[in-house]
Amino acid sequence: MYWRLYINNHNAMNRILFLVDDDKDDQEIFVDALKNVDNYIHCITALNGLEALQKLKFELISLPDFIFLDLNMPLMGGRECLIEIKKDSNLRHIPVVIYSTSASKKDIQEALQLGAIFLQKPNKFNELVQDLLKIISPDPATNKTLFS
Amino acid sequence: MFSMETILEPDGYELIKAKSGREALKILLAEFNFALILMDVKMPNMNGFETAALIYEREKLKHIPIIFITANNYGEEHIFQGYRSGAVDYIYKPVNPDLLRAKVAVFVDLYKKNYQLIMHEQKLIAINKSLENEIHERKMSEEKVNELNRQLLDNIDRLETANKELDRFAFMSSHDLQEPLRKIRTYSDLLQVKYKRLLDEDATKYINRIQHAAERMQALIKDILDFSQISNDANKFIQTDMNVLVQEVVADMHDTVDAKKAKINVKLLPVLNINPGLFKALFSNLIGNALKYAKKDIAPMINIYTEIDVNNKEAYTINPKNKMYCRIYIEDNGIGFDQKYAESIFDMFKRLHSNNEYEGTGIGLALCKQIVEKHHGFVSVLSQINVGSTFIISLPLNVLETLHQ
Repeated sequence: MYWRLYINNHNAMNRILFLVDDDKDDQEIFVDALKNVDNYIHCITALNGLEALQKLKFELISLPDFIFLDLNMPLMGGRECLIEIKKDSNLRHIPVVIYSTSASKKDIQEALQLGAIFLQKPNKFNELVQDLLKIISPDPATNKTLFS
Repeated sequence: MFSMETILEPDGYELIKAKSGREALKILLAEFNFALILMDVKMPNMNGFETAALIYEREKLKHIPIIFITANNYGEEHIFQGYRSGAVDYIYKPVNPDLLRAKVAVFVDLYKKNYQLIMHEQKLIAINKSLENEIHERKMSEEKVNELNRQLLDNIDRLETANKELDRFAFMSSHDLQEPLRKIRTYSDLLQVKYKRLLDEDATKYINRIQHAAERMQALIKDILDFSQISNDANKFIQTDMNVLVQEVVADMHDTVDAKKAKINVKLLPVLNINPGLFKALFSNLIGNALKYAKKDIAPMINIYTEIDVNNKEAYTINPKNKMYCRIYIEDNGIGFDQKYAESIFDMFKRLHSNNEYEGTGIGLALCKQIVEKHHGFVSVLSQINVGSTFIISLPLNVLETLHQ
């Protein structure tokens, strides 16, 4: 009984966010913003889709609560990576956010069709904080509407 | 011989005499075009038959008829020999002047006719030759035209490819430019957010300027991106109710409309076969301009209305090749401009105001022009300083197209 409670608590306190982005600057800004949202959320990173899949399928001990995917990356971009994630029965339940500079209609539609939500990389730090707050809010109601 | 001269001279023939076969040959080869040869059979050294044989050896002389003149009837054998050597006739001595004249007349006449025929033939050959030349030349020029045509098609092909490449280049470069630009904005924003207390007035001002410049560059890049995407989107035409489309565009701008206390009157617009995405951008630009270039002290009033080119309707019924046009007017009461700029304002990056007065990228109207042209129409403007501008979108109408008015 105590054990179970501990596990739950552990999960709630230490959520994991997986950021897949080849841009080191963007990674840094993202982590910085994330700290402003939730100091307990743990961020792990990968530099491209292939590395991300390798980590998700074979290396990570616990799966992340969110995956943020950049679109343009070397070796494997966000779109292909998203498709692979949705193919995998162990991974397909994890909410995915396509996190990209471009916000072309085509990219947004594709992301939605593939079961992800779309977040354009904002110009302002505070906007990013606000966006992250909305997305990784522990409030299940907010999350449900975003990732329905 | 003398007697013959006297017989023939009155008929106007030109007679040339030779005293022997050898002399005859010499004359025949030197001078030209004899109608007839009268030749004595009996001559010193070389008789008439031998001379005739020699004459007819020459290609040039073969066609000249020879009449042998002979004193004695040597018999059939002799005559036969004459014919064999090429003679066409015999006259016996003493010469009967009438017979001689008649025979000569026949041959000369024949010669003349022959000559005419030859001339005619030569003329025909010449005509034929020039015809052949002409045909050859036509063929050559046809080939040249074909070659030019092929080159033209080649060039069009190349141009289209280059255009596509250019669009792709514009798309890719503007796409890739967005990223570093976003970083400039984000980092300058971070500076402001994180070090607010450390920054003095000047530092804040400079950061604001960086932000502003970056924003402006972003707007430019976005417009170039939009522009480069026109060709990709231009093929999807849908029957679209322009009333709904314009209302949507106006709704998207309600912030600016409210802030400027603008009035936008949309009179009944037709249903047109257009690309809705592109037309939204078109109206968004034109209405946006009307709002942007409003007078400072007077609330903007924008009238959007349409007109079917009625004058052309008659022309159309007579000849469906005469296109009928639907015109959509976007009329404002803004600051206007000198009509002499009416064409150049549609050029890429062409602006009439500095960025400090009115912000803009100089791409909007170029985009409008491109969009209307993709719909096989054209856009024009009437403007007067301090009165306002009226932009006119003219679209060719298919008469079968329904016009729900």
